Amino acid sequence: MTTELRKTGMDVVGDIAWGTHCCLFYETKADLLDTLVSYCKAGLEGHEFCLWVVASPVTEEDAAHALGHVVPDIDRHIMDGSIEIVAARDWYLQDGTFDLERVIHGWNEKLASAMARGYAGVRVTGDTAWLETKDWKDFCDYEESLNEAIANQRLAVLCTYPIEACRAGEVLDVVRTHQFAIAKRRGDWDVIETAGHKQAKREVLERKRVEEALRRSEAYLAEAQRLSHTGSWAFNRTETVYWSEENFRIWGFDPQQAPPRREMVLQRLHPEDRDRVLEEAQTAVRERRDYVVEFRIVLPDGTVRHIQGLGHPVFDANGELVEVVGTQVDVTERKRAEQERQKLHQLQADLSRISRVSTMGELTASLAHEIKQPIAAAVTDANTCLRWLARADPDVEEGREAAGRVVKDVTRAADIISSIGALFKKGAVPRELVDVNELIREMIGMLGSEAKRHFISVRAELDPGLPQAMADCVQLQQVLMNLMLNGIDAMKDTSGAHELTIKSETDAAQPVISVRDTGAGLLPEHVDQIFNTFFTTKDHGIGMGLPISRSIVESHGGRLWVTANAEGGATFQFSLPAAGMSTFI
Amino acid sequence: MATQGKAKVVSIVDDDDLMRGALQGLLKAVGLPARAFASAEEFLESGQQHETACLIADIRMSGMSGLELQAKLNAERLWIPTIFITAHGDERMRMQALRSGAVEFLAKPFDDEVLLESVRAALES
Repeated sequence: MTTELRKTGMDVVGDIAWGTHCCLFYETKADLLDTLVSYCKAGLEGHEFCLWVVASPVTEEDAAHALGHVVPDIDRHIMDGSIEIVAARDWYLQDGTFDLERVIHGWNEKLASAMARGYAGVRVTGDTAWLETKDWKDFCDYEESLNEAIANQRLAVLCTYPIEACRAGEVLDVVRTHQFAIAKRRGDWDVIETAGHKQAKREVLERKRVEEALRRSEAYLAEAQRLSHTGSWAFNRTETVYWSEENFRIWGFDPQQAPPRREMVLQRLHPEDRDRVLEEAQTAVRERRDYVVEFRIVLPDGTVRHIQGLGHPVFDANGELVEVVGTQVDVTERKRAEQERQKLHQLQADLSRISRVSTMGELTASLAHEIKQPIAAAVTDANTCLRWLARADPDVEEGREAAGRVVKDVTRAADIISSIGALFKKGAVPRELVDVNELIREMIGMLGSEAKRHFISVRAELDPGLPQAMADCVQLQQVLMNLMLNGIDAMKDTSGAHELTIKSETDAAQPVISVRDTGAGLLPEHVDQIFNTFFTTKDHGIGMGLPISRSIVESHGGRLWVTANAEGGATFQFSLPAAGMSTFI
Repeated sequence: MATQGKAKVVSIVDDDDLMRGALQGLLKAVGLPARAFASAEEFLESGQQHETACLIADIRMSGMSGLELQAKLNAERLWIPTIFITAHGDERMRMQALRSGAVEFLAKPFDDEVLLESVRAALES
């Protein structure tokens, strides 16, 4: 039985469900016409096909005339076949006999034709004034079987009985065979329900309540799916069993259509991902486990969406695959945001690299300029000296003067080199309390994408009890960054494991930071030279990073040294005095 | 006004005292008289630009740069053959100098023979 309610047009009854079979006892022709006119009017307004079977003393003309009073365009309804008014003898008593089967068959035919013509259902009213005692028993059987026959149909039947013609026993028969009876009681219409019908009504209401709860729950689920861009689906071996509304949207299928067939779904998978997804799903089913797979789909307009899929195979008691159910999350937006974030990180890393390079670069360019001056002078003076001495008559005095200038030139060059360290002398910049662990984490964040670009994993082993250092934060950043970038440089062109480990530990109450790489390592003869100015093993290096780093660390009263790892690679370490220590050099 | 054929003086403009001394010493060793100035401004104030047959100038100096000096001389219609010496010249700077009439553009440290050849060529022109 459907729970869809129809208006009866009778105030005392209100709405009824399809499948309702009720009776009405009338006293006068006027009562009957009044009631049935409203009943049919409500049917026409509800776009139902109406069939009115009239019996003496009411004629087809009476019925049409009475209807015309309340339904102005009744002629049109009669013309287009929305309502038929027929005589009871023609309907119930073909060949003069009542045949239960034939009449019920007649209702069903009317129903089929009405549904085919697009009506919401069929509303019937039939009068029984023609009934004779000989047919009473058969008609009761008919009324009884009608309840079952129309129970699940879009059919409602109102049978009308002239109360004066019914004996008490017959009234009881009629009431028993209908879901409820309508009768005039003290001048007003009243409804008499049977206990069974009350129960049925309660069931309808209960079912309505359950259906409503289900609809609400489905609406919330659909809303949740829409909000989280999550669709759900189920496939059995041959077809798509279920495809949620959100899944229709994600895959760009028309939700008005049936769930897309498997081939249609596969067709929208990105060609580069199709085999992988299928294989993942098949393997999971074979191994009887859930699977998670990321893939792309291509919509007919070329839009590419990134999907995160999850599948769960369901097996029956015999271990046979029943179906695979799953969810699909549209992660396109998330993916885009992630890419943006990565780009931002890369930009940040590039920026810090540029600023590092430009700081060091500017420094070295100006140092290079400073150093080249006295060296150029020394070369010129030495050549001049040679010229004086190479004469046929050597001028030793001039030669000595030129050589003296060479000494001055070279001394200037040496002074400049030693002044590099002085750039970072204590007191030049204010020192503050620095949480070295925090600084390490910052640097790892900044250089993370640089490391990732070269497939290098960065690991931190930080001592939570590390004492704070009194230092110039920016200079420490430079040292750390320089050591980390050196480590990355050392590994990026080598094979084997690529791991950069930054460790902080406390040694004799001092923070000690180490940067360990698994790169090419150090030649023993380089260990001593590596901190020398302009020493480099790199093609593009300028050999300034480590001397400057050492100068910075030493200006803080710490030490910077390097050791070769037994298993390859190098470890640079530096110590810093803890904040409370007064051991600054 | 430029006075070719008069005293053939070489002028050196470099803010680095060692370089100035070295260049002066080199020219003296080959018998060429030279005057040295610690800045472009000092050179312009001395009036020696009118007596100079060849100018050797550093590019990057505190105050007026070598290229600015050359532009200023050109603006005064003084076309002195100029040899630039710089510790950090790039190709762009080199082209700018040569387009403005420089006869040579040398990077420090330089080959003294190349410098002297240019100086001699300038003096004989």
